[in-house]
Amino acid sequence: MADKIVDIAIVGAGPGGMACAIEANSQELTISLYLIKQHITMT
Amino acid sequence: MIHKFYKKGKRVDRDWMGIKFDFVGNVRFEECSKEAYIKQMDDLLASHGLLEKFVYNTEIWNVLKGDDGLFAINVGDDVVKAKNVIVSVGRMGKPNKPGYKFPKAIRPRLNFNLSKVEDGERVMIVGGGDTAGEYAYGLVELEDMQNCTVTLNYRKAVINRMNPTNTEMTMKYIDNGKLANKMGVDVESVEIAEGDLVQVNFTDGSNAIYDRIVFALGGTSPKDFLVNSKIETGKWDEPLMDEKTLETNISGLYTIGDVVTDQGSIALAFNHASFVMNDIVAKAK
Repeated sequence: MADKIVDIAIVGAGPGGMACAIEANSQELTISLYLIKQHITMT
Repeated sequence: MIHKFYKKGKRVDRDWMGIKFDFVGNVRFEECSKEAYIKQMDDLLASHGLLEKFVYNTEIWNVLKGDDGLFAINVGDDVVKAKNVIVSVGRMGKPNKPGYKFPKAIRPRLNFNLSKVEDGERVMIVGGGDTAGEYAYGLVELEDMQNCTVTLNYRKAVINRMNPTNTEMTMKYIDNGKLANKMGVDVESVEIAEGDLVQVNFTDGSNAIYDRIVFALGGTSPKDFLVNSKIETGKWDEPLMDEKTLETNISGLYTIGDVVTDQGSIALAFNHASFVMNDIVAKAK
C-alpha cells in the first residue's frame, strides 16, 4: 500500500497544535491535516 | 494537555505576567475556566471539521526527512509522509524532577499534578512558579477537596516568579491561613513514614509528614525528540529556529508553543500557529 502523504503533520495535540489545525482552515488553505497526539508518560 | 493537567474549574489565562496579549491570527479565546475553554476549542474544531482528523495515543519518537524531501512519521504500523511538520509537544511530558531520590514504596504519593489528590489528604505543593500557585490555591478552592490540608513549599521566602493574579491569590490564602506557608526552606530528602506516608526532611532540620507531594518545578524541553529529529538545539536545549517563521534548521520542520518558549502561554502558542501557517502558505505560492 502506498504511503499516505499529507501537506502538514502536527505532532502534539495541545493548544498550539489545535490552533495550527484551525488556523489552516481559517485561512482557507488546501492543506490536508494529520494530527497526532504525542503520548505523554508521567512517572 | 488542558484535559490532563488542569483541575476542574481552573482559569485559563489569556494574558501572561499581567501583560495584555494581542492575537495576530484567526484563533483566539477570552480568559475563562478550563471547562469553558475546552468547549470553545471543541466547538471550533468541530466547526472546522477537524475532530475526526486526530489520531490519539500515538507515541512519536522523531520526524525525519527522507531523500524524497518528505518527512516520515511512524504511526503504529503505518508510515505517514508529510511535506511539512509542526512540532507542538510542549514541555509537560518531561516535568522537572528534584535531585533527591524517590523511595519506591512512596512513589505513588509523589506526583507532578493534582490528578491523584483525594479529599482529606495532607498535600504539599513544591515550587514557586505559576503552576505551583495555581495548584496550591486551586486545591484550597476546590469544593470537593474541602478537607484537604494544603501546604506550599518554595525554597525562596518570597514569591517572585508568579504572575500578579496568582501571586495575589496565593498570598490571600497564605494570609488567611487556608494555605500553610512552608516557604524559605528547601526539601533535602523524602523518606517513607509509617503507613507508607511521606516524611519530608527540610534543609533547616525540620520534617513533616504528608499524604502526598506534588512537584510543580516546571518542565524541560523535550530534548530527545528534538535531537532524534536532527533539530539543532541551543545552550538550554531549546530548538534553534527562525524567530519570525519558527522554522528550524530543517526546511519544512517547525517548532511552536512551550517547546520554544518558557512562558507557558496558550495565547502565544496560538500566535505561533499563525506565523507557521503564514510561512507555509507563502512558500507554497
